[in-house]
Amino acid sequence: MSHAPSHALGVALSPLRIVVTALSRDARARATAFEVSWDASAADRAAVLTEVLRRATAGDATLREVHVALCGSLADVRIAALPKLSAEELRPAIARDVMQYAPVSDVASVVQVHGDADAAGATRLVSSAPAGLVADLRRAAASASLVLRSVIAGPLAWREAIGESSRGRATAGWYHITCDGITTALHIEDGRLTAIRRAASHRAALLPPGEVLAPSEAAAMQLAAEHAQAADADSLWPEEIYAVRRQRMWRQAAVMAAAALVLLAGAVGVEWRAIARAEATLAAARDSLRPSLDAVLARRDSSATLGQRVRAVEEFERGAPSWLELIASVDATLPPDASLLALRASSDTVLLIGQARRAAPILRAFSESSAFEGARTDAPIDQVVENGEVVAERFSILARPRGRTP
Amino acid sequence: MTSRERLAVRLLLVAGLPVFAIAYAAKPMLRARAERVEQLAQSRDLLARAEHALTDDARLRAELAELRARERQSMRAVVSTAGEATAVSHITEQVRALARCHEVLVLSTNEVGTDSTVAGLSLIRIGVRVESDMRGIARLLGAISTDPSALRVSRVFIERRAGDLGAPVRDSTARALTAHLTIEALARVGDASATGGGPR
Repeated sequence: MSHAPSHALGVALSPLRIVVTALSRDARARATAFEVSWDASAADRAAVLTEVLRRATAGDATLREVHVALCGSLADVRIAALPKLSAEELRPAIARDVMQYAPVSDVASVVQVHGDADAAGATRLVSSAPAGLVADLRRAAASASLVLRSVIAGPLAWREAIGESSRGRATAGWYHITCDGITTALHIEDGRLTAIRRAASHRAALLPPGEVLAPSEAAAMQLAAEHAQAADADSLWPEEIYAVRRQRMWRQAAVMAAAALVLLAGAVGVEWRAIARAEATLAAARDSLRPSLDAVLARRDSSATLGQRVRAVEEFERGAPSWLELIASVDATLPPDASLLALRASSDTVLLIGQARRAAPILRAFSESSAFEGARTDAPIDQVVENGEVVAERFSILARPRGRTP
Repeated sequence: MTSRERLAVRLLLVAGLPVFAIAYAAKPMLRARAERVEQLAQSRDLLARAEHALTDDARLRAELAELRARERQSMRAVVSTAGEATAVSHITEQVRALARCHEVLVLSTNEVGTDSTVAGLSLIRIGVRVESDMRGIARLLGAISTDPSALRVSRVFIERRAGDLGAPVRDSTARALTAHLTIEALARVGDASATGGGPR
């Protein structure tokens, strides 16, 4: 992590001590660290903090921001098994049920869920601090004409210190640090805080053996102050900050939505106008063509009517049956001994009624004729009997002149 | 209002506003746009057809002139009268004249009916009962079919004359046949310019 330029202050806060240092690339060389013992009550806390910050910024007009690390019992850091939700979703739930996740807290807390701990996402690193303390810090910073840029738990600052000091080396291992009478053992692996153990400093032997990070509480506080700067995602913010952020986000979203709507309306308007213009152009073109078009359409109607009339007359003439041809065909098909008594014909059928010595050859003659088709008897054959003897047969044959469909 | 109620109201707004926006703003707007675009396409199509019709006018004029000539030719065969009764009378007279020419006796005539066809033409049907021998009837049929007027026989019924049961139809020696003919003719009825009827 890169240090901020010298316009920022790093502050480490424990219940009994405040360490302030200027943050810069050569922070250690230019550190103006000083320790303040304080045992102020909660009511006086903001006033004491304001005084400390004013003293720290005295004579340096370039100092504008302050980063705070809460050490000892002022902040709690735990690794907790949490549902697989985003940090934004988890944070209010943990703040609401803080007693479940951080049983030592009995006051309203500011909570942050970090991306650290289990890479698989089953457990997450959670830090919390009293909401009143964070609010006092904001008020104090404002009173000292500073901007509170971040508030983090002490172990996270020490994690940064370990990461910085062990750059280029294998980092897996336990590190001990004592502050506020509590020794904290941090297990760091690949720059991530993967386990935390705490014990009273006189029982530190119970903790897993590890490297001592700072020889004294003052050194631990100094280390925390020097590495107090954190990313926004690690910072403990009071709810009002989140509310302001949410409000800002909603405002931005609303502005973007309004801009999108305006653009959409503009696009619709432009397209509407283009369509209207195209319609007007087409209407003008149609109007200019209308006089000559009316004459053309009248000519077309006349042409259609005349065509229909001509076709009707031609079809009428084509559809006239050739009766002479039909009568000649009947005459040629009838055998010589047959006589025709009646002939009824329409355009597609002919009915022949007659008599002959025998009727069957007549029917056969019409069936085999090339001039007729579909020949059949239309009524039973009657026999003409004279003196008990059959002298003739009367027939009634229905046939269709070939080539004429019924 | 509790936080849960606030959340419910927010969810309702988040889910409901887009639905309302789509249902009452986006959809009607898109529908109106589609209708206008379709109308525009139709207008373009109409304009293109009008322009095509105008460019095709020369061909149309030539076609119309040719059709007028053919129509004049065709209408010469068509009976043109001011009324239907006049047309029937004229056609009947025409058939009687043909029968007289071919020595066929017309026993009776009657009007069968009239159908309207296309383009102001009517199909008039008359029934004619004639008496003659087979040769005379054949001559009459031939004369009708070759007459320049638009006449045709649609039905023929030939039988022996009543009381002459012994003679066959084919016997052409005696006037023993009665023929019932249904004759059709095309007429242009309602022609104000027509005066006495007859093919023009």
